[in-house]
Amino acid sequence: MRIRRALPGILLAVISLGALTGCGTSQSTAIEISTAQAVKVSSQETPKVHHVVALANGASEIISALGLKNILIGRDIASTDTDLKSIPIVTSGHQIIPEKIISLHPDLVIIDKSTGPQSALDALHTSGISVVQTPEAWTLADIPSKVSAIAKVIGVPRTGAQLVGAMDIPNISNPALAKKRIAFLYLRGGSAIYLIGGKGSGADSLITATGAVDIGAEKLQNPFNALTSEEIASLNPDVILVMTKGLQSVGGVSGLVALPGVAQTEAGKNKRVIAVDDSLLLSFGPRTPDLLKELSRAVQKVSQ
Amino acid sequence: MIKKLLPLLLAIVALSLVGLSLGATDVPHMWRYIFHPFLEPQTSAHQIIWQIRAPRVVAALLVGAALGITGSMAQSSTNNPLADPAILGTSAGASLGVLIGVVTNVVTVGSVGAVLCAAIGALAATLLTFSLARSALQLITIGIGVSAILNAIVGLTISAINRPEARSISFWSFGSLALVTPENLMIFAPILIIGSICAWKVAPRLDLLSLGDASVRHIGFNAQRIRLISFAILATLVAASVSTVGSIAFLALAAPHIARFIYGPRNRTLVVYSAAVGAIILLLADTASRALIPPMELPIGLLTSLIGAPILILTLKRSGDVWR
Amino acid sequence: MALIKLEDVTIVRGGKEVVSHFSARIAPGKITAIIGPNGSGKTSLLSALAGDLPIASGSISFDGKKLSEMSTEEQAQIRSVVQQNRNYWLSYTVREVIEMGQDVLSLQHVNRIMSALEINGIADQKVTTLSGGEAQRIEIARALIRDTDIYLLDEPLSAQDSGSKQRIISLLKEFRDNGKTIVIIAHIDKSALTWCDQVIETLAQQRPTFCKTWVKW
Repeated sequence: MRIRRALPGILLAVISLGALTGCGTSQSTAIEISTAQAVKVSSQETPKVHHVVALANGASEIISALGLKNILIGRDIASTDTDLKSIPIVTSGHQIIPEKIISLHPDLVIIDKSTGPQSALDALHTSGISVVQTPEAWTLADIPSKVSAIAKVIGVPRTGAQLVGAMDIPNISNPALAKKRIAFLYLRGGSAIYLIGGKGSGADSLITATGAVDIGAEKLQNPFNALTSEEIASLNPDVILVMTKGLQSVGGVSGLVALPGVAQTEAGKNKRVIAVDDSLLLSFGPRTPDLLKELSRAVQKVSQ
Repeated sequence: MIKKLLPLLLAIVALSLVGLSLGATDVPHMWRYIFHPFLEPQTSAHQIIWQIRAPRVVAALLVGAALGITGSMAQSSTNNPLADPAILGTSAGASLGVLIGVVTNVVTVGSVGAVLCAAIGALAATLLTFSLARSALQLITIGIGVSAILNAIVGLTISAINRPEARSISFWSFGSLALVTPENLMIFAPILIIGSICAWKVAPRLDLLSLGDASVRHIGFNAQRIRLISFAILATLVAASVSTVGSIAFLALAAPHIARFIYGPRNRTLVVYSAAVGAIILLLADTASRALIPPMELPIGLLTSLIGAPILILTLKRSGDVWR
Repeated sequence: MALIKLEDVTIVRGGKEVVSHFSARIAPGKITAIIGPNGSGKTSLLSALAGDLPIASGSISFDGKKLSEMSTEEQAQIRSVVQQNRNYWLSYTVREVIEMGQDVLSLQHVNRIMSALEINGIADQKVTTLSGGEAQRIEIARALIRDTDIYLLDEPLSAQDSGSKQRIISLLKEFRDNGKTIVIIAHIDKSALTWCDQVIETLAQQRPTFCKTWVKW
């Protein structure tokens, strides 16, 4: 009967613990950016290849923006632009499937540094398929060279220059956002460790362009860094930027702001969350100029 | 029993204070905030101690206690020192229950509904094991089989479907106290209390099982019914634990052995002491996971194994006269 | 007082008939011994009486009520059982084991039985450290502290020295004098059974058959 006597004590302790945590203000100010307009040009040149499999990050988008969607016969799973829906996917997750590519008889396969696995690439080489690597872009400044390289590889350099010109990144830096501290969180389901974007995550370039501060990039050197709940709470961002699928994996905004660590931050307490579609955020391609405008608007709105 | 319980309670209080004081960040004037729980609730110091660390400490105590009790009940009801809810199929059933609930969009991860799905899954899996087994030994072997099948289904389903929420279920196979919120605990605590009371009540019947099913029958009791009741209680406690913090290795196996070694096999006392030992081990493991190499967190299952296993081996070597 | 009637009982174990068309009446308020060589079906008979072993044909009844129609609880209220083999494997104390599962007990009564069986001295000892004879007496105590009309004992004297044997026998006689019906299985010679009122002897032949002969002293 010891347990029975302890009952009220236990209940009291649990309830007090609940009271101690307090409640955050619950305005629902989470914002979703799911699409952005792509800059497009039409090409006057004739490409030198007609059956292209584009596996480099954002390459299919760029080829479509060059007005040459018709030469695309295969894409990677990350290119989710609705424009490209009809083009078959030749990857399983982020791994390329050599048999599928070979069966399409491509003239050219465009890859970048992160395409893999190596054994699949070797299989393509062995079957005599032409594979060319183009540069990646993880900052706004790298976009022009990525576009030009892809245009050159398919034989339309002048169209490429045209596209670069049309994609001129606007100056959207808003001095009113100068003090906004934004953290980019990479979420994959419930996990004890948060991954916060640091220098070179890609998001830092976007955040800085809006005029706000990427606190991860400010303090941490690696593109992705592991942080515990206590550290997130100490870092205390005003706004949290995430990708849509990642947000879903923790149960949406309400799930995110309930996570220990996040719940104690300004962003968590006021539900200041911006979610951007996974393939859009780091695409660094034709949709990025429009994304920047939307992002700037979003940060402003969420900070009111 | 109070005399023997006192050192355990003191250990729990002491370890709780240690747990509140250790963590990934340095909190200035830490002890002031620890001993004044209502001081300055808006500061990050208060929040780190009371909103991040305190729920973990309480979770470690409650879940550790629950797992200790489930282990003692599993071992006593099957007359087998190797019994563990993970072996009987219960934990795997809980995971599958939640997976089905999430995939069919009935519940979201972490909600009360998810706990209910876990409970249904755990009970169903346990009943499956129970109905297939004809003896106490078969409960173990068939339980291992059922666990394997259910875990495989969970794993394959998560790999095959492309739903982001489903991935968070795989975190349960590792277990972690890092995502526990006070709301979770408010659901868990009443379940623990009711479960413990039921365990306490059925405990004397479990003593009887050690004399053999025939002896049980001779004085008018039904051995399988006693086992069924025990399994229902332990399935509920396991379901609540798994849906709150995931599967934590080894604790349910080790805590009752240690408690039995120190305090003897009487199940009434075993319920209390297994709970206390389980709470202490989990609290130690969680504090170590946060404090050993800050800011990294070590997986808690590895630490419960590391702490529990040597103690288990030691007690088994010394306890020639507890089990034969 | 309870009359135990066995009518045309056949017990099959492992495909073999171990007891074959056996009929007997076990006198109430008496001590009945069932003796016979190994394999002649004695233990099966006792198990059937205890309700542990189903019978293939025939019937067993206590005071007119059929065993097959009695629930576990009803059986437990009528009869107590002492089993032959006892291995304890968890270190409960002697007293804990004796009292296990039995709810309403007068401490005085328990102590009396225990001292009659000379196990009160080891009441707090762990059962895993007992000798075979002591363990057997624990089992006897577990049954004798219950108040039932019938007591079924399987080889209760096999591990006892002569002094213990006498003590157990006089305890059983005491129960008999109080009107209890006692059935024991013994693997000993007829001549050592003068303390029993009734003896049933089982005989084994080439085919394990149960022959009914009973001798009344």
